[in-house]
Amino acid sequence: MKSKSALRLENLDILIEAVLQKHLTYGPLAKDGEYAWQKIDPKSNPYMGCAVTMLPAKHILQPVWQDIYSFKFGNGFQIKEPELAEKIALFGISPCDVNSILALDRVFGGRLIDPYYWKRRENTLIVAANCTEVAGESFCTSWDTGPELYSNYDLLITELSDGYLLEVGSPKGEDVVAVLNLPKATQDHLNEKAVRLNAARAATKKKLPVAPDDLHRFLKERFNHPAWVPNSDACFSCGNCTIACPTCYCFDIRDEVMPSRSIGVRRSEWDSCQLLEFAEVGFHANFRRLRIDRFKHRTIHKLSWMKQQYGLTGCVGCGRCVRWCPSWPERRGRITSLADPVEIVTDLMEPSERYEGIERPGGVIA
Amino acid sequence: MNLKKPPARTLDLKRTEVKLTASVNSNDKVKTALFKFTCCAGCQFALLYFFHQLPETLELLDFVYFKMAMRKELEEPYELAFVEGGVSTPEHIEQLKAIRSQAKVLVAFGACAAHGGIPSIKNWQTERAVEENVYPDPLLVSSIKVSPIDEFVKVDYHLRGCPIDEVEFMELIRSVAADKSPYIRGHPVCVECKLRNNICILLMREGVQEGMCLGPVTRAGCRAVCTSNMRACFGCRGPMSNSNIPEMVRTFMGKGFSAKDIEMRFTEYAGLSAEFSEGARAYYGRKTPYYHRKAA
Repeated sequence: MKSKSALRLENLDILIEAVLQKHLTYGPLAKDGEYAWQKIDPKSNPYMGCAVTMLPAKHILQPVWQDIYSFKFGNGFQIKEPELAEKIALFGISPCDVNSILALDRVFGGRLIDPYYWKRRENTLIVAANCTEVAGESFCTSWDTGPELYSNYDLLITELSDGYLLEVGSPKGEDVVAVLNLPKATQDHLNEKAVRLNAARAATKKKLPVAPDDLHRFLKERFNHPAWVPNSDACFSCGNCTIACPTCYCFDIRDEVMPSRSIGVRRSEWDSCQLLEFAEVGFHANFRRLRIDRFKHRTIHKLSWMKQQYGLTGCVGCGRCVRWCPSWPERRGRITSLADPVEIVTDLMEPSERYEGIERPGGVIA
Repeated sequence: MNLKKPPARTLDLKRTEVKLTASVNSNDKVKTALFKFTCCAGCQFALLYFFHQLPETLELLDFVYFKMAMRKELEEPYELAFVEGGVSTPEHIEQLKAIRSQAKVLVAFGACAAHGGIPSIKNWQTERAVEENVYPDPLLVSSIKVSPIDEFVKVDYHLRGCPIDEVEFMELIRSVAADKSPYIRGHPVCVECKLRNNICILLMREGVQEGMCLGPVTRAGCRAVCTSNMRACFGCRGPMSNSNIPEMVRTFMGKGFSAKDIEMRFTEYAGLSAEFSEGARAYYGRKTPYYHRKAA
């Protein structure tokens, strides 16, 4: 999808106001020294750089706690579903997060369709922002999921030296900007965009050492590599990496019945494969009782299996797992984040003999 | 001795009692008794607040014994027993076993009953030192080391936390009333904290006391109330289902916390649990934690 038209935008305020007219708008706003997706109003100032927010934007499309429906006994069995007709806008979503939403689209819209996700998704306006700077933990260039977004947006903002370049990618986006009567952008502006994004690409130093197409074979060969042991020994199994991940989609469903036992709610809540209870079935049997199994599962699922399952990579290189992993062990003489896929792959590239006789820091705790 | 009988009280104290009867037929309700051992009674007090907010609890429970709210003496039988506080005298053991033989469901109510709680700090000193500190004549008291109640009797469910959590309490009594097991998860505080979009205290506040967050190894259910208010997790709910204590100790060491700090943090509430006592000893690989050395 090629951008239909490129426009000049002097400041963001008029665009925010135009989007706010019909949409419940969320944007990356400052919170406790970080950025978090919050509702924005005309006065707020969403961050248009590389906003690696605390929770990804998926929590707007697939809420952390979601009432799927409420039910009522007596006079038969009645169900009431929530109305999800509200129009949502994601203002200033970065390219990696747009790519993660495409991956979620495949998950929730594949063989089985999640109607709750899709109702929100269809009503969502994506106002993306190209990253003219890149956060230190990100490695989006390895997957080509950033810093530039090529398609799948309604509106795309790029910060220029004076003002912004606004590209329109869909009729939905066209409707929003039609009332603004913005001037057309010149070739100079498009050139400046290319220069800025190339600079951002060059500034992304972090890179996955294995080519994305080769990862499946690479990880399959190293499934029993000894480097998994010290890695998983340092893992808390706390689930931070999966909750912060923009492509993780697991959730748990349970019924909450009121004391009268005649009314109740069916509720979903995000779950994490890193937790012991995740793969537990009847009689306390567990498919992934060992920490190393759960650690391996997350890493390989993100880097390889999700591509096999859904055709899109499960890692978009946003760096949230790197950022929020509480465990920072020493690897190869450097203090690194345990959950960092780049570091894990680098560990796996070392010959297995390197790990022979290595002292396990804490021993294996099942 | 010939004492004069005191005049009858005119004040009607019954009117000041909390009304613990609801409109529902009491036969459908679960007969409940709440006992207190060694603790601050804060969980009972928290329960009174839940009653205030959620009158529906009283549609499920019929309290036969609840000292903080009612004047009634214990009436048997009862089906559900909440036991608050740890065991710290020999008499407690007998009382606890009597409760177990009567109750169909026994619930450890709060951090002290579940893990020993704050009173368990005394376990790291000699009993003599503790008694001398508190009583003028230690020969008159015979205390023992504080234990969680499941040291002596089988406990069906644990309501952890200092104090207990309202949502978890409601889930438990609804489940007991419906005769099913409650949904109490073993996941860490990190899950509930991150779901609330909080920044990570452990990562952000390096080197300061507030950064000493036990969230990655502590069982959740508290809805991350401390970390949501920018306070580090104290570990009051005890270890999670699959905690990685050596890694937690290494993380604290890497941040420059002293052995004393680490031991105090691990022994504050749930030092008697196998996992947290391991953490308290891990720094030097010592057998006896810090407090014991000081007392000796």
